[in-house]
Amino acid sequence: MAEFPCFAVVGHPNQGKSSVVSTLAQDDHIAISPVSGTTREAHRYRLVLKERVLYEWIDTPGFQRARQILEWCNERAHSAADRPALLSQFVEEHKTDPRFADDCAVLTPVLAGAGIIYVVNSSQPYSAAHDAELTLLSWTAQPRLALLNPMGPADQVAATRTQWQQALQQYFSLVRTFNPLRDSFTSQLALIRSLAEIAPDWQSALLEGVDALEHQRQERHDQAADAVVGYCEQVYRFQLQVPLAGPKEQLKARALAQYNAELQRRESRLQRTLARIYGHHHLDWEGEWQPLSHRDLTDRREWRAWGLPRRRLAALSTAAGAASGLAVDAAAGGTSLLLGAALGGVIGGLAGNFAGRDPVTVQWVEKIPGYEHWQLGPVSNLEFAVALFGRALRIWYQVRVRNHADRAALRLSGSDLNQWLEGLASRQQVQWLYWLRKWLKRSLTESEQKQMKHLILSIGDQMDSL
Amino acid sequence: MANFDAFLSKAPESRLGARWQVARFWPLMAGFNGVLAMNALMLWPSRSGVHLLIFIMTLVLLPFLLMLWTALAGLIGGRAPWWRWLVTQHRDPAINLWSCRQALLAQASFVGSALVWLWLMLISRQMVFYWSTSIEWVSQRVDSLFQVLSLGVITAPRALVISASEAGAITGWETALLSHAAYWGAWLSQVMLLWVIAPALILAGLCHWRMRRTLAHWPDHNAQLRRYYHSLKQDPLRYTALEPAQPDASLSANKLAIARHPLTEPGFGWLQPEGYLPAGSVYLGRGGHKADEQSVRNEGGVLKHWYCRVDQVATGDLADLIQLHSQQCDHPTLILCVPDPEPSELNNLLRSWQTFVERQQLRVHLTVVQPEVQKHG
Ligand SMILES: Nc1nc2c(ncn2[C@@H]2O[C@H](COP(=O)(O)OP(=O)(O)OP(=O)(O)O)[C@@H](O)[C@H]2O)c(=O)[nH]1
Ligand SMILES: [Mg+2]
Repeated sequence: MAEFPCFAVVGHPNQGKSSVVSTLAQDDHIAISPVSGTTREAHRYRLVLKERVLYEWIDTPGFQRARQILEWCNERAHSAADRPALLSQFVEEHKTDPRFADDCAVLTPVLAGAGIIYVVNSSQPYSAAHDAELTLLSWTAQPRLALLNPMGPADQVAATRTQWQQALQQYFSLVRTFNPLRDSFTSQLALIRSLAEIAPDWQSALLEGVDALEHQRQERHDQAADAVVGYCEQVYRFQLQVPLAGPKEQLKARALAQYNAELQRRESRLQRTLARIYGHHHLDWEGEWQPLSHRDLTDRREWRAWGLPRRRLAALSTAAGAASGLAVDAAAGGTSLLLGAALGGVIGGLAGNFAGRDPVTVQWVEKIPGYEHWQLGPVSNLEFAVALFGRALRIWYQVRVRNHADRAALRLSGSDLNQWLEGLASRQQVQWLYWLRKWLKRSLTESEQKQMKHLILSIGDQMDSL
Repeated sequence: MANFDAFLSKAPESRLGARWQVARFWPLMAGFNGVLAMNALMLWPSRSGVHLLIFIMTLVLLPFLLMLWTALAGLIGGRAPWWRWLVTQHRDPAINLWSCRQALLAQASFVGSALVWLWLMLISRQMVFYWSTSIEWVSQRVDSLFQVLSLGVITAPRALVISASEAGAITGWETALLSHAAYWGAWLSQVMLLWVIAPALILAGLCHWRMRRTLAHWPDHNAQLRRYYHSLKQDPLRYTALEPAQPDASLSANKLAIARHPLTEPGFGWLQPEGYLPAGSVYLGRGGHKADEQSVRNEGGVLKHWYCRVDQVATGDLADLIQLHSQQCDHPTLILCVPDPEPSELNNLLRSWQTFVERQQLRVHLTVVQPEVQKHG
């Protein structure tokens, strides 16, 4: 066996092998396409911790001519013990044969001692070719695991399920279901843990990898929350001055457009930052964002989609308004805050903090004659602020739950700010709005930003659990 | 960017530039000012000597108060001297403390250089120290003022010398005072050391220590730099690809029309269920490859069609059989059967088959059929 764990992901063509590797290796450069035979060579991906290799995944082409290889070996085998040697011999003799290029690329790492992850699209019926593949693989003594990747519609999957279970159980001690496009980070780790289970020699390195990945994930969340806080600080406090001559009202419209463009610039910077944190390099944000995005951020209809329902916001806002900084800081008095929230539902609608005003402070500044200008910002409208916050979190959600194998555009289904917030304790909800309201008045201090970050992290946990 | 120290050592060059340099040499400039101040004191208010009270005011009391203010604001209030915002707009307690330290060093340097200059003057020329005031109240308290300045640590000037130094107290006072010059010089030096230089240095040290401690927990303090740092830092844990990523394959994109009619001609069925195809068809892909080859050789003269389900994955085995068939039959037809209802990814599946035919260089007609009525053989 190799000095570090090494698993070859093998199977029939077009079963999602590259997708599995892409998700596990968190690499969105890996070629994935619906065309079978996409992967032409074996590609290795190593997990390195401080210059030390923990383990390796190998993405391989699909088997093309397994039945022929099987027959070739069977013709020459005198006893069962010969078979592994014959397999090596086959690879040796056919290395340069273009017809067997794919099969040799699969078998080479396996013969060199890699463990086996056999990926199969379990919505397809079991066939003789699959049987040949499994037989060939069973000749090597490597640890092996079968992954059912149900790609087709549910009824098809159900129809072929028992067939597959029976076939695979003959060859594999462990059969698991794994969807490389949708399965969460937790189930990815669970998969690696199962590998540790079937390969006792490699257990410690694999488990060390799992721990390190878990830790890294937490750090990524932390950085992401930090980036969101930094973004809010920037956009909420942003001021734009437009010292232009011309009719006042026309200028105001133009200034708003400019302000809007600036917000979007910052938002796309946040998108890039968050994507970088989670290791996504090829996200097509235009395509991703289009279905959700309204180009004009300052458009009032836009806020509705992103923020909170009015009643809810009103309730929280009143509670937050009633809360003293001390209560929020000390995280005490939760129930009294809630009482405020209940009252707020009635009164809050009247509270002038957000009813039908401009999204930002817009002032005509004429301190110095001849140098009059429009000054836009900082953000003054709570509803708008919440909407911006909701968008930022949605961006985070997008990259956070996205697997690297997933190359399709955005999934629209999914929860939103309102649902995530509901998962928090009411005290945290009020705290959140309290800091948000503070933000509209002034910059938050370092320690206040830290508290906000922790709230954002809790909201992030909700994203995973929903 | 390996660690935080490397990052920080780069910070002055990358972000703050020239203004940072000015702030670094702040104490040096203060030292130069100290020399200027000392020279000014020798010229004003009288060219003939140094006025003791004005000297104490500018080189002891004023710097002392400034120092006290800076240190209190910096160490307790966490505020920085006014010029700190000219250096950088970064919010960072470490920068505040650093600026505070610079300010304290500047104060020490101002008084220190004046002190050095004072002694150079004492050595190289004649100097006279005197005092005079027209305010009765002050003149009565000069003795006790000097007493207080001595703080009980250093010996206070003798009353006789003090009164002798009062300008105009005796005739020919200037020559008489010359004999006291070194005496005053020594006492003033001690006062400057005691009141300004030593405490300023101690406080600067305290600021420095506090700054180091802040830097040790630096990511807690400066969000802006922290984010910048994280964006540059390489994660110790990462996946590395040993081979370069494969470029996306160019895909064939001919549109294939879907015909809708029953299957009538018998042919080779690849992985088809028994009875699905017209009578006389041969079913392949169920057993060994050799057996399939034999069937193709036997029936290849008669059968001209290949039937495959469109959602089947094409493999090299199938390609080899079709190649074998082409030797007997010119351009067989490869018919892709579309199930009902159509699979959601039909276009992708068709593309996949087209690519398969191209890559394996099969000489076949590719057609797509959705069988309307299923014939039972
Ligand atoms: N719906 C669905 N599609 C999937 C799933 N896994 C993979 N796919 C899709 O299946 C196609 C093939 O995936 P690949 O990962 O390229 O498969 P492969 O086994 O590497 O294919 P080759 O390299 O051609 O052998 C891609 O279009 C994937 O997006 C899944 O769980 N569900
Ligand atoms: Mg692949």
